[in-house]
Amino acid sequence: MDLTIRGLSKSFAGTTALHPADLTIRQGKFTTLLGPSGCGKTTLLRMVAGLETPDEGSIAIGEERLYDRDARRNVPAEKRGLGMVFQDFALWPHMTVFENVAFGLRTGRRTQDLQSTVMQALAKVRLENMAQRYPHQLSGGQQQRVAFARAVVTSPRLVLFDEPLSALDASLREEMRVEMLSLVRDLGLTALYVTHDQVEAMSMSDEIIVMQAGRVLQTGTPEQIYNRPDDAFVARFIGRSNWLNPGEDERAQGVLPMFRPEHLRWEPVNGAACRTYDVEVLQSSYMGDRYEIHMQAEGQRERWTAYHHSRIPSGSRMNVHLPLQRIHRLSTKL
Amino acid sequence: MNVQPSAKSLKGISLLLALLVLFALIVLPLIEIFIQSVYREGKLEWSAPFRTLADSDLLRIMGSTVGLGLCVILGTTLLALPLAWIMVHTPLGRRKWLDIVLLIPFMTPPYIGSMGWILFMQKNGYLEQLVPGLSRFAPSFFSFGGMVAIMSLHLFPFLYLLLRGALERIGGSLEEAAAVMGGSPGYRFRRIIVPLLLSPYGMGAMLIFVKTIAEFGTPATFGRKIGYEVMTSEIHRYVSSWPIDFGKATSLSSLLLTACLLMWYVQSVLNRRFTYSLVGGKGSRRSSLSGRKALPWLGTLFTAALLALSIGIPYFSIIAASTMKLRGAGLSFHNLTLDAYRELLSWGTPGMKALTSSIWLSLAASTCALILGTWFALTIGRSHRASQRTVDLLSLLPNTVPGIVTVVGLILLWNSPWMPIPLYNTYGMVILTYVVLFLPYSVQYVKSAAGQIDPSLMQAGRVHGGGALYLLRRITLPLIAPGMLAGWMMTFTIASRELVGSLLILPPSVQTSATYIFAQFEQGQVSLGMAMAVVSVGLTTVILLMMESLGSGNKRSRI
Repeated sequence: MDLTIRGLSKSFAGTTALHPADLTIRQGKFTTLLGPSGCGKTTLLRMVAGLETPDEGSIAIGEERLYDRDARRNVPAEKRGLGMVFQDFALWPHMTVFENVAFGLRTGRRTQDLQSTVMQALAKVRLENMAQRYPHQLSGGQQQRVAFARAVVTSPRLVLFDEPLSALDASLREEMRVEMLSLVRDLGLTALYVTHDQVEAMSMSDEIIVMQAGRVLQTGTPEQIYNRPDDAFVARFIGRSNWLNPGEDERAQGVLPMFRPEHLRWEPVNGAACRTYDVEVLQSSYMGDRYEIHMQAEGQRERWTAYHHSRIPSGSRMNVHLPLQRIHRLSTKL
Repeated sequence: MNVQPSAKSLKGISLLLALLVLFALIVLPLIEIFIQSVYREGKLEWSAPFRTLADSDLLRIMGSTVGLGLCVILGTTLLALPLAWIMVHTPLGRRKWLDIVLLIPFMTPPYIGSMGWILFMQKNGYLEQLVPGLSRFAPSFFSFGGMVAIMSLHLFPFLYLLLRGALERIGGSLEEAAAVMGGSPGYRFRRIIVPLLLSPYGMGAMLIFVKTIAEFGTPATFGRKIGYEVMTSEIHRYVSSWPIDFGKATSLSSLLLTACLLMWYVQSVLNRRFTYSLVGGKGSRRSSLSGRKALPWLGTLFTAALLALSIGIPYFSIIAASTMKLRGAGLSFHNLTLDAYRELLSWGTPGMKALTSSIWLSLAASTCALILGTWFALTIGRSHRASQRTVDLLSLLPNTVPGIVTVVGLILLWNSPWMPIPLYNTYGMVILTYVVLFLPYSVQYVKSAAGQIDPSLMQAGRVHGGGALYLLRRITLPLIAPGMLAGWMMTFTIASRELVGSLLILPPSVQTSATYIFAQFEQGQVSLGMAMAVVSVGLTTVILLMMESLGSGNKRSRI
């Protein structure tokens, strides 16, 4: 049962939050909505949850219509049977961890094995011992795990994540990312995940939907998005990009050539056609596992970045080689 | 190198001095009340206050005070709870001007509001003239129920603000989470909203109770008219009219003081224990959950009716009474005149004298309060140390203590035979009383302004070579200046309309606008008194509006 979104749009007081969008979120997959803040990704997620009413379009899971403007159908949030992890966790401060997690089971009148179901969910997030605590007695990471357990305890057909890691500090975020992904995989959940963090999106997702200014720019696997961006914004927003001056024919076709830093070689590559550029090294930055070399190539407008295993003094002039097959040409017309 | 220790010892001296001044100004008068209540004719009698209290009459008064407090809690709840719900869940809440308008009842001095209601409801009053058919019900307004209504209409904004804030924070993701987890609207209300609203409501109800039993304006006007006596009006009677009985006054004051302090203490303990932090990251997002099913027209109707009752009727009556040529002739254009204003605002009339003395006394008091308040607020700092917290607590004490109790304490202290400073019965005493009564306002305004100054700003100043005084002059004072201005204006506003302090403290034959209004309403020309009410409320409203626009214009971003 896939989630199907057709022609969905929304505007707030004259400003368009989401231009009409068509999307399919596949069952059992981890799909991420990625984009800078204010791009409409949270609005889209909240419309799926039923917390925001769309202006136009339809939302359906399988054959069941959750929202359909034309059929005047709008299933309220509490009848949609979804799970959601909120950005600020939204744990109810007056309920214990146990009661927080049990909430969804009680509202669904699935109280038969309440005790064991809740404890199982808590065990999954390693919080069995915290069941009788109150949310304010937990650390940030523990609150996050309670929010997760609460969202999945009812085995919902779709779990929504609204930037769930952004309230945590950097080291904890890394840890929770790995833990949450393995839980989602173990439980076989369908997840729709909103984030502005490209590392989260790339490392967790089966499919990424890149959004900007209320529009969907590109949909694809992380590899597709990284290696074959459709759009200059996508290329710049995800990973590092180096831009080449377009040649005559490229300009005529309206395409922009670019490549990723790791593809620039310091030695000619055997058996691959290469372009060679004369560059001046501007700066070497040590990143721990490598050096980032910033350079200006002769006759090129934009500065480039490349990676090297040792420091290169600023001002050095050298030749670099770019395999032709690594050049990706993206269309400027959409 | 030796700058550091001397600055530190300077701070220590300032802290000590602040404690001493606060003790002399605020704590000593309150202690004096307790002492006086146990001394009878020079002898110490521990049982004296209890004997006084056992007097059946005083017991009755205590009962009626508590009864009034409880009924006003009920009244304000009936007004504030629906209003808060309407403002959070219907489009009405997006109208920002309503937030300011809803503060008007709270900012109207209660004695003026009560006078408005009396004029409206009394025999041959405006209700009878406007809707003769309803005049049968007017006499029943002059009862306990009417008093509760007047006080509830005055105090409800306070509870409303508390409830609205809580509802808004709950209405964010906490309620949304419950919706996504399958909670129906009724279930969400029962399991999420009610439990989370309970503790802010309890807090608000307790504060309403304290404010009601400490209130003097309404009991002194409406209460006296219907013969409903409460503790504040009784204290006033015992210290101001024959036979003067300081024993009874101090016993009642001690009791009232104890009750208020106890309530505040319980309130702050409960606040610390049972308040969940409801602050969420994006909690302020307006939920679209329940807005759909709300009945906007019903909400608008309720709000309009509430505004008509709490602002419309009192202000209409006051303005109408101030422009009336002949009292008996009723509402008509022929009977309209501005004579009262002309008489009031001519030089040399008693009204003008009262107004000018009101203004200069308040100016002097607010300036003194500002200087003291700034000093205390800066001494408090971020209240890391116990001594700083004590300064904080003491300087806010007059807000907790009923005004009439503070005033009685000040009279006892400054009028006592051993007092070497001959301040009593002078203008200085009036200014001192105002300063003590309204010190909390300037302390709070300056404290909140100072709290917004990031410590790193001061550290940056020190690193770049600024001495303590230089930093105070170039960094602290400019940054807290808006807060100081706001505190100064607020103190001026409230001091200029203060009733109970003025009634008891003013030297003989001196009047302020408040006592003038009071006297004219009781036995004089109502139109003159009401004209003074319009002028003094108008003046302070202009100042408050100026403050509001200053506040919104002065949003210097503090990064």
